[in-house]
Amino acid sequence: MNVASITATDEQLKLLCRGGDYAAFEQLYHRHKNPLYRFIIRQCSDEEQAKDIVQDVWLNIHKACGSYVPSAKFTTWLYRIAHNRIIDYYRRSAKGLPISYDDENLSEEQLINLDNRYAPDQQVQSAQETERLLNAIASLQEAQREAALLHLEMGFSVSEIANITQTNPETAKSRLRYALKKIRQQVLS
Amino acid sequence: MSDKMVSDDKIQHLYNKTKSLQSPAELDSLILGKIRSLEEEPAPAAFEKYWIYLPIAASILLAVFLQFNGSDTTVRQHSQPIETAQLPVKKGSVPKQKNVDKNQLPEMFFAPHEDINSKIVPACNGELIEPENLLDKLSAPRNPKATGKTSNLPIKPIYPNSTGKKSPACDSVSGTVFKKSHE
Repeated sequence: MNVASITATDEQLKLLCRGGDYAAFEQLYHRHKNPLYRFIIRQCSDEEQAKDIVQDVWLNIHKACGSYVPSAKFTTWLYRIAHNRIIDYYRRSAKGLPISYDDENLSEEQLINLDNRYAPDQQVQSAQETERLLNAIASLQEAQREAALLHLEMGFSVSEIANITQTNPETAKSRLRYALKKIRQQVLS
Repeated sequence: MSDKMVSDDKIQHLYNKTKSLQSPAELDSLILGKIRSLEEEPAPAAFEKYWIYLPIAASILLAVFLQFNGSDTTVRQHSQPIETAQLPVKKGSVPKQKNVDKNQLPEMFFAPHEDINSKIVPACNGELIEPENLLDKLSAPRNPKATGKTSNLPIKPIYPNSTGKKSPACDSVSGTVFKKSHE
């Protein structure tokens, strides 16, 4: 690993990967492995499944090196792949894709009813603030939780969240607003 | 509004405290090991994929070799005659001539010019003669006894004119009507 690769941007490193530079890929991996791991494991109930998804995402990133065009931010691209893998994980599960991902077509009343489904059995009980925060995140609907994690973990804006989750900006904004409101209510109450 | 911003900052601050959770070391080594092995794989894989071109290359080389070998006709003329396998000769049949130059065409291809002309015999002396009973033979049903049945299908007249009558033979150029030879 040379000095240039340490100071290079993600996009420059990705282009180096395209040329078969393994050190550049390793550098990218070490930069993003922890946020990506937290993003995935906080959405999957099964830790082993989460590890499989993380592995799958990185192998996909490596495989898609040749086709990467630096038109978007590398992180947007990375989390979009992660989002698709999580959707696949939900689809393979017994429950299927959560209804919260269909919130573009749900009314305000339906969304409130959906919240009531999550709230009673996952009440925040921990005294520790950080644990209360994590419990609050865990109690969110899947789509809102994803939006909140993208915002809190990586600082993505609404438009970037919309790009990653392949929804319109209004839906992304709505998901993030509801998610943060519920977290505030549960953590700071 | 300011309270909301303060609370959002506090949530972010709290979340940052949870960032101590890190990717397990065994997962890192597993992922990087797999990617390293994928990076090393392409060299033999690239070599292996060229094996499929080997038969094509061999056939091209063979074709080129045969092309150059066969183009020298002088060599071929003085080459040794080719021994061919022979079937057992039947009694009374004429045996094939051995060691015939295969480039030479058989004699039947070189018929003399006058012979060809001599075989063209004029049908008549300027007259078109219809052979005897030709129309009757053509219009008669073919071998009615073979099946024992006669066809009910109407026989199509040879000269499809409106009357159905036989038209006399005529010269299409001059319009001269020829009489039948037996009339």
